[in-house]
Amino acid sequence: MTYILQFLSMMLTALFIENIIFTRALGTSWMFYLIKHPKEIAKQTGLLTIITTLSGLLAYPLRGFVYNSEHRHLLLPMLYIAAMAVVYLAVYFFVKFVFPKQEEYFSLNLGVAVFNCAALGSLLVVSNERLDLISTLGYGIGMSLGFGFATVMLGYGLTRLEYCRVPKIFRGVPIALIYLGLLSLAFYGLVGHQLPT
Amino acid sequence: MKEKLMFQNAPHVRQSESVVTMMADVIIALLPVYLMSFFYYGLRAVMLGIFGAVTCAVLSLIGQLLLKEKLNFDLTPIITGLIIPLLMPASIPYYVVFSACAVAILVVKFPFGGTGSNLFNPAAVGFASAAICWPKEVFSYPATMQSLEVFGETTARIAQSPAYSLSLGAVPDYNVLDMLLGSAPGPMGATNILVVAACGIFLIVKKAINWLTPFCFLVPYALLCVLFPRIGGSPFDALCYELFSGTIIFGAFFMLTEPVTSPKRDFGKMLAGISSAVVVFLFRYFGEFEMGFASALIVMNVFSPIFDAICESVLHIYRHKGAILASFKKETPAETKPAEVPAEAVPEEEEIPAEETSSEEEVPEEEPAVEIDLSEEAEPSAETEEEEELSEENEEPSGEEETV
Amino acid sequence: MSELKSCFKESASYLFLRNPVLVLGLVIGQLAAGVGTLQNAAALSITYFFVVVPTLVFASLFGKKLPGWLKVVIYALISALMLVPSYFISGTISATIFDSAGIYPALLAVSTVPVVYSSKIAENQKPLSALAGGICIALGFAFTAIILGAAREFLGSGSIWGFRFAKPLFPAAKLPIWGFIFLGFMAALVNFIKDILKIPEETPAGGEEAK
Repeated sequence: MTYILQFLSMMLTALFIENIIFTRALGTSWMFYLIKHPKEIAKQTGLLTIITTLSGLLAYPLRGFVYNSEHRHLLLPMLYIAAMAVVYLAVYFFVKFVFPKQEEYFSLNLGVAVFNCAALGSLLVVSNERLDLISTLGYGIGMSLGFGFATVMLGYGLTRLEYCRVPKIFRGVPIALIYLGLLSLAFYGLVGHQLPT
Repeated sequence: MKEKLMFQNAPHVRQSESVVTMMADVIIALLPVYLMSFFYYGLRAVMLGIFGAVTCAVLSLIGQLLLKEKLNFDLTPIITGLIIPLLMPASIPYYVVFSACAVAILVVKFPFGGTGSNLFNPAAVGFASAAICWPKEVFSYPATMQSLEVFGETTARIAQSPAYSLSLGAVPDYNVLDMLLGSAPGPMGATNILVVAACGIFLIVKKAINWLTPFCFLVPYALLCVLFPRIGGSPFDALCYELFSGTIIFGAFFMLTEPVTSPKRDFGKMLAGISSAVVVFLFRYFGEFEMGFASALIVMNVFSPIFDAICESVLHIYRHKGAILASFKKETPAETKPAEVPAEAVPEEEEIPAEETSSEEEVPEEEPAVEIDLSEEAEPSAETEEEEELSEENEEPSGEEETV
Repeated sequence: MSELKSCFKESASYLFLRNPVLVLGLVIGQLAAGVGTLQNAAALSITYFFVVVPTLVFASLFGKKLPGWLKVVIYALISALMLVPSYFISGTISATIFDSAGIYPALLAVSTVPVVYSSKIAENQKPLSALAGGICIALGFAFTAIILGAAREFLGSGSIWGFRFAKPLFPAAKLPIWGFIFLGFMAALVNFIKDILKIPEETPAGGEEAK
């Protein structure tokens, strides 16, 4: 029961309070792409959830070797990218042999779902905060769901902006960034005055 | 006699209220709040309000010039400039108010298209950005009944606000009557609950705001405070402390009801009020800052069109319930009813192969149809004779009718 | 040499008119949250240069010979390897550079350009074009990062490159909130300049070009 509560609390923290986009600004380029392709949001969020869970499970025992190293800022990301590469290959071949009809979709989208700032960022944050396995898994799943949540919120907001009289120089990237900043401001009411690590 | 037709753009429904009168009513409602602030903190409170209003008005004009828009002197920036200092302590430095006003006008209003196009409440965003930037200055409240220096830094005696005490789980040092009359420290515009509530009722009576949003916000919020109190003691005390601390009452009447960012439909307003109550409750209970109303309001601004959309869907279903129900009924045995007419002939048809009967049936059908056509044509021919008499000067009658 | 010059002329638009951050909407997160000071901006710029240029050149040389499913892995691993030289060069900026920059320099290894651009664009280019494109993208990123870092450090700390000049005017300037908003206004400024110079819009925003 304790583990379930710990998992849920870490998942909700990552989903709302420390939302990967609003508080740490990770995965924004991929988010802008998904907003233009809304039918992909659910699929990509699901894929990201699977990838972060598997990457977290694989990277958790490995990071102990690097924690106390002088060059951990260099070695940890390299280690995690290598772990993500293993996860990518495992998932790709699993899909190829077990779900061959999905191979085309995965060959186009798996790379971005694995190698992106949100996935690597969540692994690095978890290692910096020295979370245990349960919290790591909860954080990874919450981060993925939070990514989807933020994408939907921002996508909805940008759809509304199309009906506003946005000045010409602010149309497109500028107003999207300002809108994202103002949304982040709201979530900082929960987090408080903290700089992301 | 020629009749003149007048063409005018919508709306065609006229009433005594207009945007200008609504804004003027809000400004009038804010004046007693500033009067009470002057009573508790001296001239500095009023000067902060004037400074905020002038700053917002000037920045609004600058924004219009930069975007090459037609200069429009509306009252909305003045309202924003008056509300922002009321959310802050009377000892707030002027640069903090300036920063909040600059964010409210230059970041929240103009990039989105100016007055009427903002997606977020400008005062809430301005206050939230100032609170994050200068939390020490924004959340340090001077004790009441001391006249502060009008300009420059103040040497005020700082007191702990009831909202801060509640966030620590402690009972505030002030009783409920003090909080009603504004004797407790807090944001200079939000502490005198009686005056704020009276001004809110004034706005409702003048129809500058709708009563639904504040009512649907305050009642659920009060219920949540009673069900989940942060302090011990009687539920009534807990309710009063939660409602009267911070900017709950002030925000319910002056910020939640902002016409641009709040839902337009009544049902949407109800939904928005209830949802806002839940979100504000969560932000106040679990948030880092002792008052999360502004942050919660920013989040709710994102969802206000969703409430209108839900309301439209519900109304659509209600208005067309007859047609929707009928469409369900048509899919069931209603389709067999027209088949009952040829069904009487079906037993005869079943004796003979269907393909052959279809061609045979057409022949006898055509014969009575022709007969019917003849009789039908005979009747209108009488009418056409009369028409022909009337229209002898018009076109020649058709040859077909004459032959018939 | 002339071919290299022509390649740079083609790619020069990445410096301003097709700036990877302000126009194409790439690498926003690292700038919004990771570039709070000028030193951080320099560290991220150096890292981005080392991550982007070799990956794009490699993709141009060998990309088409690799099987489709293996490309992304190889590009990501090359980017990760390029973190090594960038780490040692960035370390000369300041002893605490990685503590202040946090996780953001490392995240550049899995950003859109090395992972996606390599397979979508660089593979179809000649090596010199890929080299010129990579250098211009890195310079465009550096241009934005340095201006943003200097502005946020001055407003947030009253200092530049760690040397204090004044009191902080806006302490929250270093938060990601204001990173997004500053970047938004910088992007609007780019649109304003393009409007004055009457330059037509060429590319969509939001990283769609890479997809």
